[in-house]
Amino acid sequence: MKKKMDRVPLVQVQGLKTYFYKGRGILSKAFGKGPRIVHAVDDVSFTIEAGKNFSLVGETGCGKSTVGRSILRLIEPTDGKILFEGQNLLEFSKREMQKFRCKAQIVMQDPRSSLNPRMTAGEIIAEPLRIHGMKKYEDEIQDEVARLLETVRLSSDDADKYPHEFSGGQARRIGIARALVLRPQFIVADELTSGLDVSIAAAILDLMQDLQDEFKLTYFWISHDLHMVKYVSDNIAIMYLGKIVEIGRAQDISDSPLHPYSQALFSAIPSIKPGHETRKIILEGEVPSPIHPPSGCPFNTRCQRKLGAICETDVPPWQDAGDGHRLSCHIPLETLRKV
Amino acid sequence: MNDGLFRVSDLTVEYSTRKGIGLALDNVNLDIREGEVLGLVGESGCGKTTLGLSIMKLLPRFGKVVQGEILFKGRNLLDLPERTMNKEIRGREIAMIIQDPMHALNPVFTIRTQVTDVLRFHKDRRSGPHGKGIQLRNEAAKMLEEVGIADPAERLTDYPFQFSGGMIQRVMVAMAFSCNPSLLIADEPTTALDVTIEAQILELLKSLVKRNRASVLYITHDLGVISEISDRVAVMYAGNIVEYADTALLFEKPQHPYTEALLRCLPGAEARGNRLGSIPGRVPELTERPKGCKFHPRCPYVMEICKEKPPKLLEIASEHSVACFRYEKT
Amino acid sequence: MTQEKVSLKLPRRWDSYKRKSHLRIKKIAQIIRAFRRQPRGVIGASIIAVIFVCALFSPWIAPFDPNEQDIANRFAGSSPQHLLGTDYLGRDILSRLIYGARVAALVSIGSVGIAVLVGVPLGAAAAFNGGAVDYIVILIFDVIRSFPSVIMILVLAAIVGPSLLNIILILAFTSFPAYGRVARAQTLCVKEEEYIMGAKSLGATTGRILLSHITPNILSPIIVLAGMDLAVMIMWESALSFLGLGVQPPTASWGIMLKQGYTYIETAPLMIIWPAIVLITTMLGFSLFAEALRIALNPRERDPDE
Repeated sequence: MKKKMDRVPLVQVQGLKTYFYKGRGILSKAFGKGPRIVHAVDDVSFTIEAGKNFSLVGETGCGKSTVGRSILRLIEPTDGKILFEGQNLLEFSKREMQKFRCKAQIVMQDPRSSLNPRMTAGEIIAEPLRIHGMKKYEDEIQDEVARLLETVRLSSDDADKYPHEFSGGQARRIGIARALVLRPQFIVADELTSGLDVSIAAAILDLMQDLQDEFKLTYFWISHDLHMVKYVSDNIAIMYLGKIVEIGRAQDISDSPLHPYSQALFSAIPSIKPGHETRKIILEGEVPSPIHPPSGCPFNTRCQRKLGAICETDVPPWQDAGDGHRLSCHIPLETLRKV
Repeated sequence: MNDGLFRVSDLTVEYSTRKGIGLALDNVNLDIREGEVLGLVGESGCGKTTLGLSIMKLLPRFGKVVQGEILFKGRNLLDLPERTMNKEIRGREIAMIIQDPMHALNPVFTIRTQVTDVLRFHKDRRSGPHGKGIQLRNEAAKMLEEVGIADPAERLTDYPFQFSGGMIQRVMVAMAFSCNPSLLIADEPTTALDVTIEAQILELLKSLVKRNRASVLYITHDLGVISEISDRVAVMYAGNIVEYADTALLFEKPQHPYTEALLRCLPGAEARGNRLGSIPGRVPELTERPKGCKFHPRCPYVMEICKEKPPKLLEIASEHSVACFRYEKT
Repeated sequence: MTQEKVSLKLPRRWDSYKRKSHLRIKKIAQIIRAFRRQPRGVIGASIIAVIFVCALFSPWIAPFDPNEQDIANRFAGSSPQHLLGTDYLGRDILSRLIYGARVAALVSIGSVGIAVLVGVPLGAAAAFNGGAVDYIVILIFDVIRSFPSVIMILVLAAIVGPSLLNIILILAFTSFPAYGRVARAQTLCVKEEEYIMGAKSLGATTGRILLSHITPNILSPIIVLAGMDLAVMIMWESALSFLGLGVQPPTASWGIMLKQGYTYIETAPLMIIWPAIVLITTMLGFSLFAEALRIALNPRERDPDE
């Protein structure tokens, strides 16, 4: 579906940095140590075209959730540019941000804690309408709530129930309904299927696909489930310790991951076809702390194909593997391609 | 039929809730052979955790075993008094690893205390040196080293919050294998962990199982992990075992409609753009289970008889049993 | 993507109003039902109901005027006429107890009410905004709390003089920091919950977040505190009146009755026993009620599954 080629991409993130400052005790301050900085997101850049599915993949603590929240300014980024329809979000006034909120929404990871336990499902879904004053009369609001519940395949009777009365999958649907109320164009889906049973996760994925077709949505998926990401995405970016290590089209990345971390990641997924015992790359050690990221390449402490001292001293360059497939590594491409 | 390490016969467990009484396990039959890994797979509410707890006789107070036998090395565990269970079985012959590593250990005691606790409790019954402080500490350090924890001697003095989820699971594995059990029950040990850490733990489990020649009951909802680690698989739905087969057979030729549907739901199975088509309907509540075959309201092949009688688990081929009327030759 | 067109049926104002109030009633009925299910709720509520009925309808319930003296009949024991006997001036004890409930109710509700209305918003706003505002507010709280309450209350009472209104204000002043502190601590927790970020993502303003999201979720411990405090305030009133720093005679209050009964404790012990029993029962009732209310208001504890 080649649309007009000169269209500005929906979302462009350039050099995004989100650091958290953790204070130090009095004694440490006295010794002149500066505040501890958590480099949650460290210079991340990517582009998302309208109508496409972009996935950010990585393990716990790599910073992907922080990226999702930073691009909506739910967490204030420390540096960088976030262009939505060509305009820099970080320069928006309060009023412009209010308008932006109607266009971009997030479905959060834990449905239990992302829904106010003292509000009924109906109230939760109606809230955006009340905030933005979109419907004047009460029965209009209730109709809209009922309509949205049906859209996410829940019954309109569920409007009077509290979040704890729903199962995990249903609570997630309420989160999706709430995100849809304002008819956004862009939705950040943070770990939408984690913790869900297989059949329920499948139902949610089908629902998201139907919604995308019906409302022309653009999705930003955040996940650690590689199977799901392969199935759902147009483009994938792989994150490690706050940096993107590889990015490209879903096909290219999953068929031939080039970065050593991506290779380890994809080989670690349990395969469903038994007898297909893929040689697993088992990584040594644990993920380093984001407060003291390793110098040079962040992955050098565990890399199974570490080149040598250069990985510890120099930040790896970006290499282009064609068709938008890029990765950040010292090892030359031809060597990486030979698995 | 008392050869073989472990057998569950007609096990039925009842839960009394405020909304009524329901069967968490309904006539469950399975067996585990020496040195094999049996995978128990199913979605939430199917009863797999209940089965693990029943074996250890750790059911919550609203649960009750109504009928059945759990035979372990010839003895019926359900008949054993609590004291014997504690001294001989739990932690010693049968060990358990639970799901959530962050809540598995007591946060106010050091790793050393908790690991040596296990050793100390069973020390009189093991052949080996009686535990004195230093000896126990050295043994604990050795255990940590075996499961791949770096600097084990220093790590002993740490508290659980200083360990990551993956490391805690390794400690749990160490504690579980410390007394060389014959059966290990692993209840979703890697569900909360990242993929690469999960791969590490699975490798660790595989090597320890091979070395100790232990059997494993591996409980999970992740079909990928099951296909990697188990020799045979039992699929559970709403308290029943619906299919029971050699792993390769199950994935190649699933026979039960639920298993078929489950495999189709996996995103890995479908190409992009095709719908996954999940299973219509919902898993029934404990107290609202239908008569007859519990899966019949959602089954595409439902027949009249399915609504009336529950199907029995029948062997339809070597190492392949199904509980479905489609295969009953009445 | 523009909004869909609104359906063409003409919205009738009172239809929507009916629907909203219908939902509210449902919610309240749920709470009441959860309340009735607990024995402590029923007991607590009954006791409190009795107290408040006495307080409200004293002139109609009390058999005698509380100040009506009958010297000839003083120190009388129980009789069909004076169910609880008479005191040293021949006044009917039962009637005095009933009128005393008025003082108890006024003092407890007044002081706790003011303390909550001042302390909670202050604490919540301080926690939510953080920074300098938070610092100053905590300073105020801590200064007030650092005084031993007994001494502060006595001193203030001595300074401003004894009267019903003064007691209410003094007690409110000494207790509002506690509510502020609790509200602040709760707000700090709730602030980090994901649904607050969810509300932010929908474009909610700070005021809206404080009102609709934070307040309902911090009220639980405050309600328990208030319930216990109601009882404590009644006790304070009694203590102050006992010392002569509270309500003045001839107004009937339980504290005054305790004081007067104390003087005659050897000759007519009933004069002090009855008010003591009433005091204890009332405090028990408020405590039970507060706990039951907290459980009933929490949607999660309301219907525990298994």
